[in-house]
Amino acid sequence: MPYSKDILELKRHLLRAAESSNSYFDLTKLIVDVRKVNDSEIPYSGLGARSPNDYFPSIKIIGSKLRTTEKDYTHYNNIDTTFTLGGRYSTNIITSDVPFFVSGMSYGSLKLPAKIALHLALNRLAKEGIKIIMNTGEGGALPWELYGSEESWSDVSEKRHENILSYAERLLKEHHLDSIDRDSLFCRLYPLITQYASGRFWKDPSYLLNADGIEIKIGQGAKIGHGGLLPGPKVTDLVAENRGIPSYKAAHSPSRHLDILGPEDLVAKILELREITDWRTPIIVKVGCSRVYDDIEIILKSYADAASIDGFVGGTGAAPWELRDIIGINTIPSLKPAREAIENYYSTDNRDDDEFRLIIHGSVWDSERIAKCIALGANGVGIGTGFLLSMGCTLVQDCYTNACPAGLTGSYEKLDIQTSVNGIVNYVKGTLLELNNIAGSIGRKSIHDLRREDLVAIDELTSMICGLPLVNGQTFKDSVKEMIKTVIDKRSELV
Amino acid sequence: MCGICAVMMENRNKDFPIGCLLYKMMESQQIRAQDSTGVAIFNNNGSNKEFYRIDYFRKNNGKYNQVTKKVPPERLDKTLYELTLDPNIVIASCAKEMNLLKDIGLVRDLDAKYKIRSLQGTHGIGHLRIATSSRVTPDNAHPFSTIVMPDIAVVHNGEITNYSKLRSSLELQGYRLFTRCDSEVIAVFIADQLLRHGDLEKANYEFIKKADGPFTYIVSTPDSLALVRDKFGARKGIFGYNPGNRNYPSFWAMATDLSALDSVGATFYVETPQPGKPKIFYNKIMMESIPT
Amino acid sequence: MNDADKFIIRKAVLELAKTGTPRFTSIDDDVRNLPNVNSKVINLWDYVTAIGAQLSRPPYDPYRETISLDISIGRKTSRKVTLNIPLIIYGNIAIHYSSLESVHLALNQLAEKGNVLGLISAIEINSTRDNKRKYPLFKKVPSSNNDSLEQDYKKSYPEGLVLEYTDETSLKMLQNFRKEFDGPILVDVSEVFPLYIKTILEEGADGIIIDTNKVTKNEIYQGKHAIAVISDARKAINDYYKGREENDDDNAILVIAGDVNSAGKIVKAAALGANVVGYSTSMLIAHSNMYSEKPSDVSSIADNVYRHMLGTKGEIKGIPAALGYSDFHNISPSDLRTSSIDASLQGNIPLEGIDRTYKDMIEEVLNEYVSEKGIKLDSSETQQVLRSIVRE
Repeated sequence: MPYSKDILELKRHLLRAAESSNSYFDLTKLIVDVRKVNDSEIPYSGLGARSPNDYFPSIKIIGSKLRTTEKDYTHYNNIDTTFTLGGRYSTNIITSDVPFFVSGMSYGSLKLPAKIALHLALNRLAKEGIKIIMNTGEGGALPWELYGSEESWSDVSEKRHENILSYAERLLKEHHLDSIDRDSLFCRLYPLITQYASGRFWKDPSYLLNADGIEIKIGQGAKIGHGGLLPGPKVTDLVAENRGIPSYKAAHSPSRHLDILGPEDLVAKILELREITDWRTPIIVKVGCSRVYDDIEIILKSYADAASIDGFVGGTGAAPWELRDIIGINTIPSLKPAREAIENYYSTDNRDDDEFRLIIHGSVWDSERIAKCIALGANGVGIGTGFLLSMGCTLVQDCYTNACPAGLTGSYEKLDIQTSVNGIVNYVKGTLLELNNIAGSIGRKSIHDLRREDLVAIDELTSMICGLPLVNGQTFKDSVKEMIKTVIDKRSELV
Repeated sequence: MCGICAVMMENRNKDFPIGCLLYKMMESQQIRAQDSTGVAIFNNNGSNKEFYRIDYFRKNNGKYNQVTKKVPPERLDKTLYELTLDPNIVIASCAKEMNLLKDIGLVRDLDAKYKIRSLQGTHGIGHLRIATSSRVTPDNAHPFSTIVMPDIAVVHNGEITNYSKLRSSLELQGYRLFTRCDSEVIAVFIADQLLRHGDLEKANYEFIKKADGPFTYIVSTPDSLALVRDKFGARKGIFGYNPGNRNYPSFWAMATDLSALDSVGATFYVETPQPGKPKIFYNKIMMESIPT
Repeated sequence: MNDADKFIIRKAVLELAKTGTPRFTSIDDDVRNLPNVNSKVINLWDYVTAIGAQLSRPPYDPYRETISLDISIGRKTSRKVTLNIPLIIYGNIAIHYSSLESVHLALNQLAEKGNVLGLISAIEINSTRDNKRKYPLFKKVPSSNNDSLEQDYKKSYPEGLVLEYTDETSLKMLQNFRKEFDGPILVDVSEVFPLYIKTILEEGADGIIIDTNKVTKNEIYQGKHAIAVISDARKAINDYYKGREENDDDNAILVIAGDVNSAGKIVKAAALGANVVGYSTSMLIAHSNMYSEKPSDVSSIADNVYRHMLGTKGEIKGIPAALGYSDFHNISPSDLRTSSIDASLQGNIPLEGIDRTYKDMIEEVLNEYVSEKGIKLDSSETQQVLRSIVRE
């Protein structure tokens, strides 16, 4: 954060006072106090929280390799990595060639060049045979996302056609992107999921009708229980127009959907959306990871096609600092209760194992992490921060200001779209090849054939929480029973 | 917790099958909540008023067996005490004038088992459950009752978020709670309040003050029925009146949703209680007269 | 994210973004578990989180709905003091009178706007007519038994008293003050914890103050964290109230100070059982003026403290709302989860994902073992075996 001189001075004095006092103060958190002194507001932060223990490095996939031999890294090229979504209640099914996709990052928190880079990159990948799903985020969809094919214009009146194109022109003009070829822009070759969040930020029904999937966002990992947030300076005129809100005023979405207070309301809402989309469109429900078993159980009963859970280390454009850091649980521990809820639901009589999908997000940014999640029970993985990094993010965590040094979430720096597109395409291709190698090197034909049996934990905590054996083959229970035996034998010796 | 409903005969008729009205209301909401159902019907004409009836579930290897015991008043305390000593027993109700029936499954399954559509009484409550926390088992179905006082039943829609605080404070006072479902705490709390001062309205105000979270509940005793919403009114709850005709007497009905009232024609006069202000119907005289 | 995390993530993803080909190894696995990467001592608080409200219970909206932070201090027979924010300014950091004056002015400004907080201080700021105290002062009485100090506190009319408990002579002082003073008396037991709690409560103290920084230096709590202290203190107070027919609202309160100086820690301490937090950062802000090359005047520093407290209030209102509570004081231990075995043992906090404490998990395995081997253990032997295992 480009702090002003006054703030930095105040921080310096506070630091010296804290160091010389006889009380304990957390010196890394003093900047939060300084910001409160400066403007009496709740300080925000961007990207994800720090969890001292995110479990991924403590889990190993036995025997897998990211890269096989020096020269030949495309050896395993016929591994099935497709991911399907829908079919449980919806008539349509979305297919993606990779088991990961772009998490919701809204237009507003991300600036237009970053959104265009993602759009063009996903189009390019689709042309090369790699279809990935994109989620719009809660800030509405951009014109070329909703009207990216001939048939999407079929019901549109001339007047509306004009309005949509004029809005697109104004968007491109604001960011000096006039030179982009309109035909290749107004073309969408990848599946799009639109996000139905509590702020209801969209302008017309095509947001729901032209989407390949709808995700009802109940909450996200970074700010569980708190609504979406876009600070005032980032609500530019065009962002405000897309969302239908006044410009330059902070947009605080409600913490909960005003018409979804409990499970029966969720059922009613999903049935309503199904009627609107003629039962065609797959519907996902997204929650942050906190009361995972209960939330998944409710989603299973609510006529949804998939559940999406987001660990508390997941990133965000803006969230209150302390709230982001302390609410929710980690990504890996959520997989066990989620799987249990799904298995318990299907083991009740009269229920066939149908196409319910479990998607997970939250600090999953490389193939090893994706593979571990899939082995532990996820069907698909959402990636946010990974895509930002491939576009040039430097993890400064100033996303909520307008001062992003990479030009992704701020307006002061310019983003080089072509470099970003190349970065995204390479990132996806590299990750896909790695996933092929991870599965192939242990003899699996499909990435979804990775199982818990392929994993070991290297410490007691991970072994206990994930139900995995330790490296010596002992489960948590075995090792505890060994200890119990020692203790009881010692006692009977003393007696 | 999900759909609650209640019916009260305006003129304390005992021979009308109100179970049928409750059944209709619950059936109309069934699609939203299918985990479990339950009813509690009061002052059934045919009930034996000399004995107490204790209904309980006995857990046996994950299965729940439902048992009913008829006990004369002089043996009530001893029997209750013995039952509470067994950790596998969950007491569902202890009653003289109330018939509490609940199980997992749909309302038509409950009717097939207990013929609720033919049950008569002066008033009754019903519930459809979709679980939000605590497992789907017969003992977690509503209505909830308590052994603190006989003949009290509660159906609840919502969450009592400070449930563990309320529960430990009641347990510190020596009360026994059998399940981990937050709705049970309402029954025990109200019963404790009634023991202290006997005023149902005051008891409900105390609960609204003490409990946190969104909730609407209906609590029922042998001669009253109360519809209560939390202080923010975060969950729905409405009541309506059906003036009756020559085929059936007049009655008041309460429900979560208007469509439930519609299914029994109780839409002559419809109102929703103010958040934080309990609406109480007494069996002896009606508290409010119907505006013309 | 800390610097090590950022380095690892950037190295991994940038390599992929540049080449589009698989990496040879994953830096994540290789580097993360090395000892020097995690060499910084991590505070155990960072391993504890709270679980939020979404579907199984809905969250409240702090911007649009009223979230109550009020707490009333005082048992049945005492004159009660109500705070609008559950914080009492604590700490002998601001040793200069001008720093204390800034805090006094800020607390007055806050009280005028309906944000009443308390202050613990040995001296009272000389109120001029324009600056009369509008917030409750908990006057710290020195431990030496002195007649003249009785005159002293009677002159200034503090709303409450704070007594430092050092040994049996303190008991006599508490008894004397209880007879004479009708407002809340808080007893600071940081020197003697965990002893004397029952006695102090029996003598009618309205609250216990514990400074976790001091306690974690004593023999019994050496090597433990504030989590253990708060958990044990709450248990001691609850044990005192077991079976008593007293109204919840009139119970003695637990004030926790020490390592609780940020909004997240305040909420976690409240979840573990603290009713009020002894907050030191306001004193620090006032005192930091001494380190400035161009010290500001008293009222600018007062403005700093005022703004800081408004921000803190916003933070501690937002978090209970996100947990599904409309009242800060309804947060309970069942809302916490941890990713550390140590934290689970110290505070009886369930582990994340499995939702049971570490001790419960071990007990489960023990019960299974005992029934498999046909061994009979009575409950005290079971506890002994459990203790030996968790110590290892």
